[in-house]
Amino acid sequence: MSQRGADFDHEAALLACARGERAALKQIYDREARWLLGVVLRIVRDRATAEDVLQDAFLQVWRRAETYRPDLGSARGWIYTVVRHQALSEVRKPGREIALDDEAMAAVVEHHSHNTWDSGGFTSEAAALQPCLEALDEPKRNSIVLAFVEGYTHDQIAKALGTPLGTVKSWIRRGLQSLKECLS
Amino acid sequence: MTLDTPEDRSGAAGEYVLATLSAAERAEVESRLGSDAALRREVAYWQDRLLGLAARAPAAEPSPGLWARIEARLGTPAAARAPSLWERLGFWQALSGLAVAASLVLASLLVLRAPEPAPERYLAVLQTPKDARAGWLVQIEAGVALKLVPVGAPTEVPAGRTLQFWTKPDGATGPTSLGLVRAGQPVTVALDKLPARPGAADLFEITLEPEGGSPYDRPSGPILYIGRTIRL
Repeated sequence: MSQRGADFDHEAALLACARGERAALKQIYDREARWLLGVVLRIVRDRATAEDVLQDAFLQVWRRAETYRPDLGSARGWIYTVVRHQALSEVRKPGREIALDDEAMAAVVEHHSHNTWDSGGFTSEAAALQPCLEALDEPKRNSIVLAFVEGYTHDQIAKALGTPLGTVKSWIRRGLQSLKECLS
Repeated sequence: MTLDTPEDRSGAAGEYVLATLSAAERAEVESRLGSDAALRREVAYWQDRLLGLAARAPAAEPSPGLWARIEARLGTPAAARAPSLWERLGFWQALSGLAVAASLVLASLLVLRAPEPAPERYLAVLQTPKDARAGWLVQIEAGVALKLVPVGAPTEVPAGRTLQFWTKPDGATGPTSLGLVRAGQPVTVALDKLPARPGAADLFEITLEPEGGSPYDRPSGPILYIGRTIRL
């Protein structure tokens, strides 16, 4: 399955970044910044911090573009992993963990229990994943969504779902396994 | 965490992409990625398959100036750039040692500065232990500050890891952390952060640590750059 956007060649742009073409990074920025900032903002929950993180993340994309291997997977998936990991390393810095009170967590879980696939930027990616994710039982689906979208750790997921840590770990592993079976 | 069976690898790779692994597990996956093609494939698989979840985060318009701020910080990616004089291994090997390198730096400082009564100054060139490639300079001016300045290509830092800067004064029993540093970014450290008055042969090093820094009061990861001060 091609992960390539219909109107933008992420692979070509990222490979051009590896050759030092600044215009290619600008193209990626113009195409992806609003979606990437949305992803980062969800995790760091503060607008100014999110922009700082996105700035650092684009430098990471630029510096590490040469390590991208087009034969393994899509450039878009690679870029989002770099950016998400940058956001997560920001919120997991010692002393910077965001304290999540029970009420806020309950609201987040409630939010995700509705069908919120409202972003238009991932039509093809979401189309493949959505039915398989919907097929998971709710706790597994919630665990995976909270980890990816909210950037929650095992501990935070356990707290949000009122479940022992070990159970959450096994939900995530078994959830991923079921997803893989469904997707293949 | 075991990574022996295809199921283990797939699960660990999926959690690596989700970012639910502990810092130690994550470091383990990253250290295996270079040599384990199956694990690399699994990571790429999950990167693509989980990407659809990004649709759950509403888009947010960046401020108009954000691209300009990014562009201002761009260097040239390592792959695309001809090595500068600083980075060329042969250049460093041709030098007889740190003293020569230091005198070059001193010469450049002298060109830039008007002559004045010389304060006590020290310099250390931090080099890779394996091939003596210079990565950072430590410049200390007594009574002023310590500056850590990157030279050459920015250090490659895997996601989720960080660089930590340490010193061990000559004769001290253990190292002292001077904080986390970012690849390619100069840092100024106040002299009162140093465990002792600066002197010649003080050791400085940069190690690769889990995010947030070493969990111990000493380095926990590999030494990336190391060097000792000389008096200028």
